[in-house]
Order: sequence, then structure tokens, then C-alpha cells
Amino acid sequence: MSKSTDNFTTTITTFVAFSNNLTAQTTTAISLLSETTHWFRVWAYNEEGLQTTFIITSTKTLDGTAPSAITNLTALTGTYPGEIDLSWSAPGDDGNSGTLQSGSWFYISTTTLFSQATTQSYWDGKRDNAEIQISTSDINPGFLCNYKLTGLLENVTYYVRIWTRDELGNWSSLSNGATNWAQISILSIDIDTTTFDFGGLPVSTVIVSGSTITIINTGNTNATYSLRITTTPAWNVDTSTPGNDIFALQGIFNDVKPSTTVFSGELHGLTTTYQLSGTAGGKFVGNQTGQNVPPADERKVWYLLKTPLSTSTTGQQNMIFYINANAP
Amino acid sequence: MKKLILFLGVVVMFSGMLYADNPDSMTISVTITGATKSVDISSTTWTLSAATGTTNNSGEIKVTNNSGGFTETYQVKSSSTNWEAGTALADVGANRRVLASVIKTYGVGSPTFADDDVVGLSYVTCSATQFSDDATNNGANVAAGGDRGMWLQLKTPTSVASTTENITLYVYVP
Repeated sequence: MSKSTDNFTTTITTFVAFSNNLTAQTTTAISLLSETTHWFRVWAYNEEGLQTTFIITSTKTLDGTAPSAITNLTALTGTYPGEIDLSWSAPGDDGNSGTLQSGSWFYISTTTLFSQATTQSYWDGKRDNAEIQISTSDINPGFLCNYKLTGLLENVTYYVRIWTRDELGNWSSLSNGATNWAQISILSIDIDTTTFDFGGLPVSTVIVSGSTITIINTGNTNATYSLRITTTPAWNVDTSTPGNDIFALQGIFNDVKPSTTVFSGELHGLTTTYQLSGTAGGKFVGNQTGQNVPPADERKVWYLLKTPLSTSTTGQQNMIFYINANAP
Repeated sequence: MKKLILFLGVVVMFSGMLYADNPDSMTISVTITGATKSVDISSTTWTLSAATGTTNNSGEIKVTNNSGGFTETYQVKSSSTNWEAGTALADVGANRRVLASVIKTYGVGSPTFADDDVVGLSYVTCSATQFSDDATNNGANVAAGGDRGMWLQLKTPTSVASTTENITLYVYVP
């Protein structure tokens, strides 16, 4: 019996020698190249030394080489609360070569305990039941892979490892360790301007601000806004009724400039203490609300000013408008 | 290595929180225009004949803030041609008179005069007690269009070199 990897074009190895009076024999070819088609032929001689024709068969050996261990796993704190962003370069199907075939997997496991993270046996025990199992296919060696861990405990350090398993179940060794903390909730808000000047107005004037002022949720989590206004050195504030050295300022979230009739002191009046924006029909609500605003979303805010009925000064009065982002 | 990793984590966390801007604020400004300081006294003269050493009370004189927008706090002073000005209700003497003024809610009746109602030769600012017997409505913070009632009391000198005197009372908006 002889074997070949090119259908006996050039390479022939006779690995079972002639033997007398054989009617049946079983033999095992060993040390074959993995994932390689091998041809086998068998023939016989009679007592006159005449040779039979060959019986030829072929088969392909299976993949016996595991992917290499991933060595560049990184973990970065994510954008949103409870997130860590992972990245790594894919290994090959066989070591660092060959495309990972359909049926291949990345297995990712984490721990928050340093004592576990530094114990090899812990990771060995986690491999087959890793928390995250990502099916993959047609991934070439070196391809940059990304995965976002979500739902983690905010501000907690996570230790991460990864394995690769090829389509035949050959496991890579354990990757390098990557460590970082899960993103915290950040409440942040931005007004796109620092000033708005109503200009010169007579007493007893009612006017709506004339330019768009945009509020942006610059945090990484939903926020509900609360609003307040300060008094000025000369004037106090009332939610709706101006008076002697008393102005009224009202605010509303609306995508376009509203008319004065939309405002009411009860719903839109600003005070010197924070008031939370409500849902539809509630505080500071026009056709937008300041409640549960997603990250990066914008709101337009408009002011209605009622100047005092009488003033003790004609100097410019400055009031500070504050808007605070709160957890919904 | 453990300590190093933890340390790096802390540094990143704080740098992450530094960019949080909460709350944010903006300044809203307005300037009142069209208001001019002005005050009107309804009577320009109070003429009386009185003996020396007597106390004489005027009727109510309306003082109106006709500024068109200003909230005004008045200042008051007097001047004399012949007599000196006393500085307390009892500070009368030869050729020395006392003029007191109270500004209060208009139309509610005559006041009670006190030493701090005595009008001197220099401007003094009205307050809840100065030229006042009314802590709420007096010559301070009078809203535009607001009326006040001004009452005067003249204590004549105990003796005089000149029997005729012209005293001018000034109400001023600084």
C-alpha cells in the first residue's frame, strides 16, 4: 500500500510492504499533514509476480492545529454607563495562519476579583462556559475585532480574557489579560450660549426671547432638567406678576419661538430654586420636554420676560439662568 | 502590577469626571429704557400767619412719582432766608425754627412727628423711619405713578428779628 498527497503525481510513499497470503488487513496511516487530501492505493501480486491494478481511494485529514492565543486584547472604558470596549486581532485558524471558518468562536470571560484574575486555574475553568460566546466566520488573521461589554457595574474594575475556538473545536490558549473599569454615569449639560440680552425695554413690557437657545445633553445617560433663575441686585423675581423692582421670567422647551399666550406663570414661571421639568402638560413643557432627555439630544428653550412695573435703576440688570441635569 | 493597574483606573476616572458640566448657566440681561426721574408736589406754597413759639401743621400735600418708570426714593432738605434751622423737634429758639416732614400713604390722615422727621439744610434720604411714620409706604421705593401724602409741621422761633420768612422745601430724586 502506498500513499500520496498529490494523487501519485510526484510523491509516493509505500508504507505497508508486501506480505504473503493476505486476504484482509487494517492499517492506520499516522503523522499525516492536517487538512490535507491523501490518496491511497493498494495492489497485489500473484505467485507469478503479476501485478493487479491499483485500487485508489482518497480522503482529507482533519484540522489538528488550534488558533494561536490572542496577545493584544485591550479593554477601554466605554462611552455609556456600565460599558467596556474590547478589541483584539483575530488569530489564524491554524496558529496565525488560515481563515477562521464558519463555526469558529470567540469566548470571553471576565472577573472583578483580582485574586481570580491572577489564577490560571480560574481561567481554565471558565473557558468552556465563558459568559460571552461570539460566533464568527470568514475572519482573516489580523482582522481587528471589537466587542462592547454592557450592563457592567459602574466604576468597577473588570479583568478580561479571551479564547478562540476553531470550527473543529481546537481551542487557543488563554489570551493576554486586559483590565479597565466600567464607565460611570455622567450627567452633563451645555447651553450653546453664555448670554442673552433682551436689550432696552420700557417698564411693563412682556416679550419672548428672539433667538434660539439650545440645550444639549452632553452626558452619557438620560437626564431630566431642572431650572432656576437668580434675582438681580436691584430686582426680585416672581413667577408671573411683575411689580415694583420685580420682574417675571418664564421658560419653555419648544422647537420654535412660541407666542406670549403659550406661557403661564404656574407652568413656566422660574424661581430662585430649582424646579424639575415635567412630562407633557407639566413644568416648562411646550412641544418638547426637559424630562428623560437622551444623551446628545437637543432642546430649545425660550424665555418670556415681564419687565418690572417700576424700577429703581436703569442700569443693565443681569440674571443668571441655571439648568441642571438630574438622573431621571 | 496590581497597584499600577488600580492607580491608572483612578486617574482615568477623575479625568472622565472633569469634563462633566453640570449645571450650566447663562446670563440674561435687560436694560430699562424710557424712564426719567421726576417727582411732582401738588402744592407749591403753604402760607401761614403764626405767632412765635407755636406749632403749625399743614394739610396733606400729594407727592407723585411721575417718572414713567422709575422707582424713586426721595431726599428732602430745606432752606431759609432769615431763620436758622433746628435739628430736633424741640430745637427752637430765637430766630430758630423747626420744619418737620412726614411722607406716608396718601389719604390716610395726619401723622405723628418725631425728631427724625426734622428737615435740615442738607439732603437726607427717606426711609421707613426717616421722614416717615409708616414702615411700608413712605418716601423710599415709591413705584412709578405712586402717590404719597406729605405732611409738614413748622415750629416757629421763640423770638424773631424778622417777622417774615420764606422756607423752601426740596424733594429730590437722586
